[in-house]
Amino acid sequence: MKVLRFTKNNIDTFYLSPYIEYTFDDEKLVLRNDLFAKVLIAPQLKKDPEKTMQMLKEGIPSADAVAFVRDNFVCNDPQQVLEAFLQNGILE
Amino acid sequence: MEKLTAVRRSFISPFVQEKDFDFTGGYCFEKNGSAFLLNPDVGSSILLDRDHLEEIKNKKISDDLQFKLIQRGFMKVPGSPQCTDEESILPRFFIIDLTQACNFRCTYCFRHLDETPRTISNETLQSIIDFIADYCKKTNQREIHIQPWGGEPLIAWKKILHIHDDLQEKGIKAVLTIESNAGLITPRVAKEAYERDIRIGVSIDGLPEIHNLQRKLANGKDSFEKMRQGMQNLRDAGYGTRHGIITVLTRNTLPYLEEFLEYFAIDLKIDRFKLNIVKDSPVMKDKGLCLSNAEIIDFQKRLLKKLIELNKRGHSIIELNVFDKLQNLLIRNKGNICISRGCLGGKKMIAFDMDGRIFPCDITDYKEEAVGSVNDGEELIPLLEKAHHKTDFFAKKESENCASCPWWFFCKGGCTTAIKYKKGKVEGVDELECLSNRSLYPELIRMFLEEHELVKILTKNKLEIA
Ligand code: SF4
Ligand code: SF4
Repeated sequence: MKVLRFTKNNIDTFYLSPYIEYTFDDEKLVLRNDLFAKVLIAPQLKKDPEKTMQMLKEGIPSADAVAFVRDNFVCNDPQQVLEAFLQNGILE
Repeated sequence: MEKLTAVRRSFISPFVQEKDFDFTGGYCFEKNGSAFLLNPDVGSSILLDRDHLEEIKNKKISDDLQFKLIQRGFMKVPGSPQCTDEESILPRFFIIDLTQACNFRCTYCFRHLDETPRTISNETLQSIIDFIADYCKKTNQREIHIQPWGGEPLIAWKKILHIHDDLQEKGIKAVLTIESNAGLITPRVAKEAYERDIRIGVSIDGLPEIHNLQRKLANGKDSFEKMRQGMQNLRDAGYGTRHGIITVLTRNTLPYLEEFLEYFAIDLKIDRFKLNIVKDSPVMKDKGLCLSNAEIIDFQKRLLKKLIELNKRGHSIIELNVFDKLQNLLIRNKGNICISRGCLGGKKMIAFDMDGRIFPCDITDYKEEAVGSVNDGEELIPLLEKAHHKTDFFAKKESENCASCPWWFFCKGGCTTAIKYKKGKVEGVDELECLSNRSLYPELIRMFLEEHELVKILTKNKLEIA
């Protein structure tokens, strides 16, 4: 796992929080934030789950985040899904 | 030490940036234009460059940084999630005291070994297994950890196999972990253990001469060769070098620290081990084995230095306390029941004695610490909840330094059993763990700020600072 040092080059990029444990239960992506004791079941994935998670670990520029959600998850309202990721501490 | 003092440590007090935008405060360690911030109440942290640290110090935090600080538990705004710092009572690690008997007589053993050692009866063991299975069903746990304990647990090998088989029949996967002196690991035992995926840790106290000095056979003879053969049997059975190693560090072994680490890495091809500093107890025969405060501090530095040197020379070897503490600091590890979030005995772990009594940890020689029995007909979680208000074990552990200690979240006063064994009651803190934390954590943070590439080496690529 990469632990980030935040600088001006990455401060506006979203990353998977280091406090997340995730599992694929019955093809569902379940994300648990241990710091906030929050659990979120993500919408169905469109692509290889590990690839999507890897992209989140590598970071998504905040300006591209809605498009990332649209491309990777089956959902009608990607903005709302992104909000859920942020409010539950899944992304930082 | 010169490098360590060059890391500036301060406490950034809580403040309100705008109405309702609270910075919660935290310890700040700075060096070379980088800063490591640690929230001691919830164990969260963040690494920043100087510019972003200045934003915090000047109380002018930009939106981007504010968001990062919220997600790392350093800032609260209306509607932001609340951090949790309490662990629920839900044991998943079970110690079963199978036997007092032991084929070794180690100089620092803290068990009260009687003249005629007892071994658990089949009936009591069955009651314990049934109790665990019932608890797992009620709490919906399908995988748990069990540590058969002794004496030398392998003396009761058949009983260990029964625990594994019976729980499996009851639909529960029991991951068994055994710490053994390896004297009884025959090729057959090794094969059976390997086939069942039992995790075995072998106790080795360093170089053969020292091992033989500290870990005698019950007949008074040297034990190193017996241990070595047992370890080889494990390797031949399929474990390779993936069995555990536990080493107890005493004043005898300390002078040879570098030598025996070299021996571990090169001769024994060990790639991970756990080094425990000997704990004081009333039954320890030789008090002179305990380390002084200065020796503990010195040891932590020498250990890190030697691990780094060996790795740089191409011998991949890690020490597991260092590994866990690195994870504590960087990702708020929760894997270690003892050193990640304070003592979780009685919350995540319990122990059973040979009469079926239940204890919050392997403190079974102190009967007053029993929280109940498998024969009482009571359920585990209510028993533990009641005990939290009743027994000495759950008394608050604190010294005058704890309130302002950066390592509080991970330590919380240290090992309760160690305090009980040393003082006969739970009061104050586990001084050995306190000193270890106060000397090791600053060294690890110095590493983050000065030589962060070492984190990758000392965690076997699990963590990397980017
Ligand atoms: S016991 Fe020592 S290291 Fe632990 S929290 Fe207290 S002062 Fe800190
Ligand atoms: S009493 Fe000590 S050994 Fe037992 S769980 Fe607590 S810290 Fe670990």
